[in-house]
Amino acid sequence: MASRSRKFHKWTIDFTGANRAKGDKQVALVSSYQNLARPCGYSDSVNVKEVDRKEADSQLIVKKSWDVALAPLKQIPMNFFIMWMAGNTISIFPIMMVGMMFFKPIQALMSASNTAFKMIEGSQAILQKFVYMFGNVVCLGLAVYKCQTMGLLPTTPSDWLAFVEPQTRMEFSGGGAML
Amino acid sequence: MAATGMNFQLLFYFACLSVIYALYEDQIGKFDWRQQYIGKVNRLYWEQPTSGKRLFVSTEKNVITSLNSASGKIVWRKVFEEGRRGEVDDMVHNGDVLATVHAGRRVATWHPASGNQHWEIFMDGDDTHKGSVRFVGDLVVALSSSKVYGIPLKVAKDFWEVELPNSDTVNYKILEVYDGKTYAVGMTLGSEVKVLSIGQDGAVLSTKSILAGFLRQNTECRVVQGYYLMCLCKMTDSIQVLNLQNPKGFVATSIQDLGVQENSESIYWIKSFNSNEVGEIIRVGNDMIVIVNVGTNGRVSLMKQLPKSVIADIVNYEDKTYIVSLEQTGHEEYGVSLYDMSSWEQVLDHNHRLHYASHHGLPEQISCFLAHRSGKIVYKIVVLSQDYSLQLIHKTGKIAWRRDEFMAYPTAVEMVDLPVSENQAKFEDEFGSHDDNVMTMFVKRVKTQLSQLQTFVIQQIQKLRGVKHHSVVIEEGGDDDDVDDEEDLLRDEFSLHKMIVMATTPGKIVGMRSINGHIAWQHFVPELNPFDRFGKEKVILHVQRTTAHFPHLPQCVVLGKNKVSGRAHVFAFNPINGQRISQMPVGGLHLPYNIVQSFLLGEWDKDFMKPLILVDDSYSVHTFPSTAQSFVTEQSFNIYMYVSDIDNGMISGYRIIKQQNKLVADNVWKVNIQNQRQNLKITSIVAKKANEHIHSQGRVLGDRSVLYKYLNPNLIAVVTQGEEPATSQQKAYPVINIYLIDVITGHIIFHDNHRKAQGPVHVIHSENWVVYNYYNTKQRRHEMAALEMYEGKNQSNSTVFSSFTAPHQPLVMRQSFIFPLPMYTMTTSDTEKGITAKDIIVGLKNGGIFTLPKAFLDPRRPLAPTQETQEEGTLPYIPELPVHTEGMINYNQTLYHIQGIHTSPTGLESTCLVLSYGLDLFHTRIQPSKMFDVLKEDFEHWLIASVVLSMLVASFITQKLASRKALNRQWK
Repeated sequence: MASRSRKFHKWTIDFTGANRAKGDKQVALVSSYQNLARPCGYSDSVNVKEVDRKEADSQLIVKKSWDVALAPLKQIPMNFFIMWMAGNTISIFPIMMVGMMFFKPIQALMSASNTAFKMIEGSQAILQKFVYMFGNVVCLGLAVYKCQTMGLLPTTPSDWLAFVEPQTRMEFSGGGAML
Repeated sequence: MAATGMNFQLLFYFACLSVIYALYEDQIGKFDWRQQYIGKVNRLYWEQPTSGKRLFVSTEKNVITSLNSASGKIVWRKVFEEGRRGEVDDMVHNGDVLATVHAGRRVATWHPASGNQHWEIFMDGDDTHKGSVRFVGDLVVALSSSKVYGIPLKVAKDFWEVELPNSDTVNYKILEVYDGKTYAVGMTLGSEVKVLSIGQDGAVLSTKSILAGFLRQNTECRVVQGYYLMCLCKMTDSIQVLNLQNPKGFVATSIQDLGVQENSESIYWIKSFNSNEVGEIIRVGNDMIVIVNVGTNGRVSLMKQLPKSVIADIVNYEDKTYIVSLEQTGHEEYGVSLYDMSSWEQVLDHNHRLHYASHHGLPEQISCFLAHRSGKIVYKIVVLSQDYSLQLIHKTGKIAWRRDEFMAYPTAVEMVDLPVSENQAKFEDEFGSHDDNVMTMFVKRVKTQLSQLQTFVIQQIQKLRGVKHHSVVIEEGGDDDDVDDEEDLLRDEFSLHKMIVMATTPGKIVGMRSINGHIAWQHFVPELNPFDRFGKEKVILHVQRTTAHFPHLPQCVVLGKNKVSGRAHVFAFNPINGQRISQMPVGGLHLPYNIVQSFLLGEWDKDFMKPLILVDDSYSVHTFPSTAQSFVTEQSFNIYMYVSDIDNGMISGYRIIKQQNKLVADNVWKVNIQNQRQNLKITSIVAKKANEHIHSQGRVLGDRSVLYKYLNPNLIAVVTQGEEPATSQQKAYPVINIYLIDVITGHIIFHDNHRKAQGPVHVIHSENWVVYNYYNTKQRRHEMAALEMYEGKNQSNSTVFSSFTAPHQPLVMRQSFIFPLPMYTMTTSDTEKGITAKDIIVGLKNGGIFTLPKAFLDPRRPLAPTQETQEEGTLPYIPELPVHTEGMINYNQTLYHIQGIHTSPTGLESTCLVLSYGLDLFHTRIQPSKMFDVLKEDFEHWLIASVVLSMLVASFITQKLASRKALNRQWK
């Protein structure tokens, strides 16, 4: 109730302060009355370079977007280092690390349209989006490579040995020493 | 430094690999049982002079023992070594001392109460000669093949010996003592009898030779009434008698003169455990017993006929002589009679009837002990039956105990799964048929569930009424056994309870519960004799149909030789309840041909029956059941057979073809593995278990490639043994050859030769490997060798295996190891799917059963371990195989004369049942890879369940609390 009444009175200058909320320090400056004289020192002729600022913003956006887009690629050296640190033994920590290495890029790719792509704007957005995707795929590839070096990928015949069916015998034989 | 590092590494490997089988103390007897036997009794004495509380017994199985006559339990038991060297030729008992003679040469005396040995001496002579021993005064007199010894009872010192004249030609068989004189009787076939009488001081009093032209190989002679030598002469239908005290000549009495209408062919001595001075019992024909005695003129006269008697014995008691006799009074019922010899009057006041199960066969020998109880004569009678069982009948005609001594003579063993309950089977039936529509399936389901409900209600009613005891015809074993024996024979959850089917030498076929070793059923087939395979008695026992094919009943078949004709004798039965199948005669089916070879076909016909194939000596093929002939004809294109002539080192392969409307075995190949110079004999042929499951088709190497196993189901391992004769440079030495032969094509896959090695060779053949042991005569130690066969890194054919297209030469790897202990036998563990690692189970001569992981006997064990071999998990090669005491699965329960070990899978992949048989039976379960498929016994179900539950409750409560708190916050 209080907030609605405040909203209602937003456009009136309440000098009494009776209805002002506790933390509400700012007083709305726009009056609801049109015919009030301009405040002192206000000049209509002061020119603010709107266009320049917009141009600078767009450059900034592109730059920032590139930052976002390149972030996955920048992680690769770090990932390499982590991979090297983790070693090839199969124990809980290396597995956790490999898990993270899989999890992160997949998560990033899955939620790209919600998070990263929202941040990527500007003229080069398509390229950047592509680079972002590429970076994550490379990270994923790295994780797969790590699995390969750890021997977790079923690439050798030994991995499929358990599924090899026993050979059925074609002939039956029996016998022994003469009874 | 490096060496110590290496040692540590090895130590670590062994620590990781050696699976601990040891039990906790409270697990003793929980999964295992042992039964001790003594074998067929051949000498028996009651404890002297009066008590009769114990029996002293010597047996065919090289055992002397003392039995408690009240319970039949073993008081003490001495088991001597197997074979001739341990045989007990004779045993006598005089109240204070037991005296025995072993293997014709060793005399020993024993303390009857404890079984401790007093002394033992060796005699000169030949150990093939059957020795004899008697007491005279305070001497033990013993007969060897060439001398008579008189040894003081107290100490084996200052004894005398008497050289027997012409001992190289005269066979001195009989030693007898009468009136302080010792008589040694020697016989020369076809010519004469020599009688030596020896005084107590060792002086030869007289030596006489008496003509005895009637003596033949089969002439039976024995000493009766103390000093008459009585011979049954079958040729002249007469009984010849010689007075040993004054040997002048044999006096003949013809059998007709005895007033018996039979000829000598149907006259048998009845063996008696005790000698007497009154008369002799002779069985005439099949249904009469006569008692004869010898008069002073040497004539034999008939004392008494016992027409109804089955068996009789003469007993002396308190200066009187009695005859005890068992008489048939009905089906499975005998009456006990006791006659006073002087008046021929029945002593017992009323009829004593006893139940005598027909599956024991006829009584063969009895021994009676008499005593006075409250003015009446009471008796204890020990009966030795045709099936080797020993039972004691006591005063009221009841059977006090029975020893099933046929169990010490196993000739074949199988384990059969118990059937599932009928309801369970119906359920399975429901899913089994595919051509039912929904409606019939629904009806079926309702029916089965109704029947389930019915059984449940019946069970509950029975529970309410209290457990009713069935009227048991005789007390089977102790009372405590009865309770669990009434339990139904149904499969348990993991099929750990199985039926052990065992065939034995006397022709007894037994079903035992694997869980406690109690006999569930028994059947006596007296005409079934075992075959002789490599010097061991074996019958062929196969499971033709398992319990998995409800409603078809399971079926087992036993094949042996007929006792009389030597032709094939078959007996088929249901292994769960022991009932013989329909159309099977009680005594088994006598087939009209001799058997050359027999085996079970690997495939079943439409009734899920695997036919038994029998090949007779004219090489025509028969089947059992005979109705399977057409099925075998259909299948004959892929049935092959091999037969080996073990003395001549020949193996022949046959295929089965149809010729003039009958199946015959047609010779395809012959392999001669004889070497005339070395005189090789085939000593064992080992094929793989037919129903073995192999899970992994290859072996993963360190570089993660696969080495495929060479799994030829038609491969056999053949061992030949011989001796390389001496040359001028070298002494003679024994040799062993091992061959791996494909029996379809006759192709020798592999051959290896061990010089200076001798048997006995025990072979295990399983999966793609062969393990065998031998004795290295050069290094004087026991060794084991392992062979493994691989196809290589590629599998030639991944779907089928045919010996005709098989890879020609598999990769054979081999290594040998030192096994520090001598063994009786060995086998390998067997599990349901073959996933579990294999164990080698060794029956050791020290009475232990030892399990050794197969990984130790791996020919791929590297000499120097590398990264790659570590990856593969092979142990570095060390020649010695470790023998941990934890590996002894029978802990301190020593087993004697182990003949074989049978392993059988259970429903649990991790667990394998082991039965060791021989003189003793021992059963346990092993887990070669530990118990990986069942939670441990000490797993805290309650703790975990309560934790989970409390967590659930806690989360539920906190959820409530949290929502309430959130609501409160909203109201602020």
